[in-house]
Amino acid sequence: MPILNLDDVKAGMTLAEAVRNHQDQLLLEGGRRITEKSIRIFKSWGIRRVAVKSGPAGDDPGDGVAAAGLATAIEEGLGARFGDGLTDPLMVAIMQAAGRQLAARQKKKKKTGDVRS
Amino acid sequence: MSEADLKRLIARVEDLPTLPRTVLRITEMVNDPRASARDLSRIITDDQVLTARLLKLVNSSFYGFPQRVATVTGAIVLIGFDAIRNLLLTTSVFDLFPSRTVKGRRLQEALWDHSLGCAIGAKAIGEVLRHEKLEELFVAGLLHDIGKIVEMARLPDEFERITVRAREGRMLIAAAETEILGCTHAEIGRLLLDRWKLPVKLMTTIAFHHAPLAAGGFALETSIVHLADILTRALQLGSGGDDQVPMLDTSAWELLRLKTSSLEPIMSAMLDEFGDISAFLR
Repeated sequence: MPILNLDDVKAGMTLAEAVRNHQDQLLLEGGRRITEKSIRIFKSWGIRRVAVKSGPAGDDPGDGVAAAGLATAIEEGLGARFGDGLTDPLMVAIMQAAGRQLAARQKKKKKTGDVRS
Repeated sequence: MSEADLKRLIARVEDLPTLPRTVLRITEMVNDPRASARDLSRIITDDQVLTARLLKLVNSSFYGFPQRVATVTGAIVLIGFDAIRNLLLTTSVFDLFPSRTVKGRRLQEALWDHSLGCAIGAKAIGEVLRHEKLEELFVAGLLHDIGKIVEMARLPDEFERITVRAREGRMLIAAAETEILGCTHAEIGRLLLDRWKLPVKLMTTIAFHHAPLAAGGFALETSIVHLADILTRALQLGSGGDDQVPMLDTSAWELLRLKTSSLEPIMSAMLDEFGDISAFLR
């Protein structure tokens, strides 16, 4: 499990451990594929090193949106809406809060649907 | 855009509808110190649609009164003259710009949802800040994009080009408007509210919701609407014509003195209230 300086981290690598900011807010879960956007977010939070699991994420069967869970899938969709705003920690906090809220609603809706069926 | 085109554009936008007679009479009455709740009630009850909307709203979670409010006079006594004027005004405004096409109606509905989300967000932020005029914030949120409604109704071809440009260029709608119209929906909204002689505070909030610190004495209220707009877009409530989330103005955030930890409870309240109030206002 190599720990790399952020400058050496490339998009496509898989994160070995979760990355959190100084307020202990989760920035990216362990096992997730690192994207250019996540590298930008880490930089904006002053993260210097991260633990990576492997090279290109395609090798990892557990990788990708399907395995990432509802909240992260929503967050990825949101990421496109926030665009360059994600260089700002405050915008990242807004995106993450929105992602969690939307995921909670979807989960609730799904649960209600299950009960009905 | 040539000078002649610009003049034609302004002429089309300036040919704006007037407010419904009932709302105008209510506005006059609110400013009349001799007017009583019963006088105001008489005017509202003459209009069945306004009566139904008012009673639905005072019985919705927006106010959360423990008991059902059954009469217009009761509603006036409970929420006050100004609140009645503003709420009736805002629920009437969207009817003034009917769209003729199915696509136009769909866009308007999406914008209505976005505006309602922003209104609920402004109120939720106001609650955290213990702002005294929550209903004013709600109204400002509901009307913040009224300039876009004018564009949809009066400049449909240009509005279509604006949304395409915003989508393809991954840019904010205000930037696409500046490119195509030479002005933004915020400026058009200001023009409309000025024409309707609505309060300066409301007009200023709408005019500067993308640059809140330029709103002078109303910078706090404008910053609240600015943040509510961003949270509404993040929560994907409706559509403001583009799908981009604008950057939060750092000075506005500092002025609000909110903590990032308060953002999620605000968003949760927005999602909770959205369905309920939307059903009551439609």
